[in-house]
Amino acid sequence: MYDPDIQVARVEVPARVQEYFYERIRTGKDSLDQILSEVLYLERNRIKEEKLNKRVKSDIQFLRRLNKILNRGSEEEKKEIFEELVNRYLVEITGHFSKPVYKFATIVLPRAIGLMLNPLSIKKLIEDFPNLPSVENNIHISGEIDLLKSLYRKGTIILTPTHQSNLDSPIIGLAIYMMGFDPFLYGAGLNLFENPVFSFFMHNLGAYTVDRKKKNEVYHKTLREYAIFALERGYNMLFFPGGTRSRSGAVEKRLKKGLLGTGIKAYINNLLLKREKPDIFVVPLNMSYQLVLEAETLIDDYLKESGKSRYIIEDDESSKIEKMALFIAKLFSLDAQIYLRVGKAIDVFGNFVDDEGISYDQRGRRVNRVDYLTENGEIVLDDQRDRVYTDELGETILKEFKRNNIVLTNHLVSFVAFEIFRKYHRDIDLYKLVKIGVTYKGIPLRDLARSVDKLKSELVKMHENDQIFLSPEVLNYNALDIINDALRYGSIYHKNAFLYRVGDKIYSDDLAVLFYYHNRLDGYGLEQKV
Amino acid sequence: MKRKSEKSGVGVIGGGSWGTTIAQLLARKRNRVILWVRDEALAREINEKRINSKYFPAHRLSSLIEATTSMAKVADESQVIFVVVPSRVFREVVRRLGDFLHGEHILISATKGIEDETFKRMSEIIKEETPVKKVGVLSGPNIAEEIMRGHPSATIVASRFELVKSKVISLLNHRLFNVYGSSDVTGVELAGTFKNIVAIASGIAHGKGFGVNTFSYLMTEGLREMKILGEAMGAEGDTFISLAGIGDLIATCTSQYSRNFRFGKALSEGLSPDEALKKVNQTVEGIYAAKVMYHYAEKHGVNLPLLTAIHDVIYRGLKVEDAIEKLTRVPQEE
Repeated sequence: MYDPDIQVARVEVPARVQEYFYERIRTGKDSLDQILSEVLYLERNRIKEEKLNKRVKSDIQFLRRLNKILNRGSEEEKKEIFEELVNRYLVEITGHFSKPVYKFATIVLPRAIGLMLNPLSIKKLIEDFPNLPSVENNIHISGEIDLLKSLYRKGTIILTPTHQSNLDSPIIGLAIYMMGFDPFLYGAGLNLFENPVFSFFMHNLGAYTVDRKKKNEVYHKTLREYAIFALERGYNMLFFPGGTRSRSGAVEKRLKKGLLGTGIKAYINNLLLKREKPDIFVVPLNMSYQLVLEAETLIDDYLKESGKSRYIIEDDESSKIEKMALFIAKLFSLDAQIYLRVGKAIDVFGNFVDDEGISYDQRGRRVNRVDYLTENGEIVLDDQRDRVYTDELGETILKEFKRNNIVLTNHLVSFVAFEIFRKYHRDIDLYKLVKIGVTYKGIPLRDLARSVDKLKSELVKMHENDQIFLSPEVLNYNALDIINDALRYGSIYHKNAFLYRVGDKIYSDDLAVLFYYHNRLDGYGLEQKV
Repeated sequence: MKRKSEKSGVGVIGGGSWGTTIAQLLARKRNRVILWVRDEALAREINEKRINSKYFPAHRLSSLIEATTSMAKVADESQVIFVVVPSRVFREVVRRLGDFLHGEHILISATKGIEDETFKRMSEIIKEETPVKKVGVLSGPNIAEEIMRGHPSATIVASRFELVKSKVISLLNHRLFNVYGSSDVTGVELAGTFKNIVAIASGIAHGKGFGVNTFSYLMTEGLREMKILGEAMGAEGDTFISLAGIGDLIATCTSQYSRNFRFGKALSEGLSPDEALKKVNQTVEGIYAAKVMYHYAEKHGVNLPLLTAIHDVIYRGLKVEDAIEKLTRVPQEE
């Protein structure tokens, strides 16, 4: 967020948060003591798990004071510390955006990474100057780009991507730049800000902080009101609606509605304030990688008994810089392509929107959006109603995710190979099979090719009917070439080779990871087609 | 935003027995009702003679009911509209109605059943065919004739929107017709369809001369199966022990006038499904319901013996005697 807006945010947002809680106290639904005690309790629990650093030390001091006031303070003091609490949270959340740093980063970063990764010699590079290789060459964006561009001018955008990796946000950042947009605001995990280099860039690239370890309502409300405020001010935003990286490898099937619901609130506020461009448009974005940096950790977490899985993983591959560098290097040494696909734009009620910003019902009739909020022409406030609208929005996003899922060669081959291995071991339960992890019986290459070919023709039909999206490789290669392309990734990066060839047979030493890539095609009922 | 005038009426689409009854119930609460009927002659009869002679020759209709053949009029003059047309024409009717609707409208489906072929619930069809999002469903043990006579009864309105529930309750709730709210739209719609299958089974049992023990067994098993299927589809288990579940089930299975019941009875006499249908000579919702529910059960991987038995009798040529034999041989340990 730009500086002048941050100044306004620091007045406006706390006022809204406080108003919300004071209203609850006035109506007897809550008391200040109760609100503060809950914060104290949850924050102390959080602190226990944290490593001691400057930020945490300051938190501890604050909580001591809070405790004291809660025990012996006057009502006035309680009110003061509550207001201080909201301000502390807001200061932590609000990033700082600098246009010069952004310009610098977007020009330098892709080429810097491109240079590092390029397998060609430095000499060749210098000869090629000014056409330095850049990651941009490996990023392919398709779908409703023009629609996004015209709506970008007509209202405020909430971009909602699928989420697989911590590399998603930098890559989306680049994609946003490549499409010619100013940066979008997005919430990045607080842990990423601990690294001073990251922190400098992130703060200056439009990120605000989200601390998922803070579980108290005051924090959540502050975060939410900040997002609403930013949308009202016309900041385009980026939310991962799944809330966290997909554990199974599958495209999101469920969404977290918390942040998504900020869209309708901002829209209503804009209407009430009679703002010039009140509209908020939600645009889903699918991403697809041949290899996912954190695949092993994610699938491992998924396979642990459900319910025990960790919502927050901090010690995974993405926290180790060397591992990340290795990953990027490997990916690009194979000239791996990253695909992004922009979905259809949706209004905050779940209707599709055209490039004029007009909403349509499922029958294609024009819809006047404001009608969903009015009664006899007057806007009525109703949080419960808005939550249901947000559910509908979420359902439409999920449909777009499914329709725009990008199938790469590795997904197709992993899907087929895993299903064949599963048939070989019909007597073993899926989870046991995956935990055993290694197959001793290989798949004859021609069997695999036959099955890949069969599934491919099924997928081509779906692609033509707009039910899924195939990468050019999957679409144009024959089965054997698809397998060969996929095999390049099978043993290059992950600890164990999840797919490799010996003679004319295909083996896997890591069925869990194979399962992970297989899952990208989960949810289409394709299992029977292998 | 000023283009909408105050809407002083409540709409009802469909002048069949249940549609007419709902119109009468709304009028009893002093609501002005705009009742859409397909047939000009029926509209005239209602407006001039205050009667719907086909369904209720003996009941005088309220003067607050205005019949019309214009959907635009209904949409113009009412925010809340009840749709009460047979499930086979539901899509076509709401699609036409959709041309006159906007986001302020509230649509309540009072039609039970699920669409053949597409397997869609009525509330889903409304969302596909109209711009309306505030959708609700009305369901319960509601035999129209009894309600017209003023017998006490109750029903459920289900919607994800609190505002829809409270509006419908304030429009309809009455000492003789209590209206309760639920958020479980899927469960309420599912129960309202599944019961028809159990009614066919009850008809068969009746035709075979079985007694109350058998009826109780069938209803309990039917309830158990609809709950299992419902929960697999995301419905709440409690819905099935509410008015929309067991309430409607008891009403449908004990009423000997129910078409499903009569269809079952005809099957028990050795008629083929086609012959039985000819004998009943009216739509038998349970026939479609069995197909739809069987499809759902397969899709969600649940094994439901009573449903399977009725399905197989209708669609796979299973003899009634063999179906009974199969049902009573359900392994106890499962």
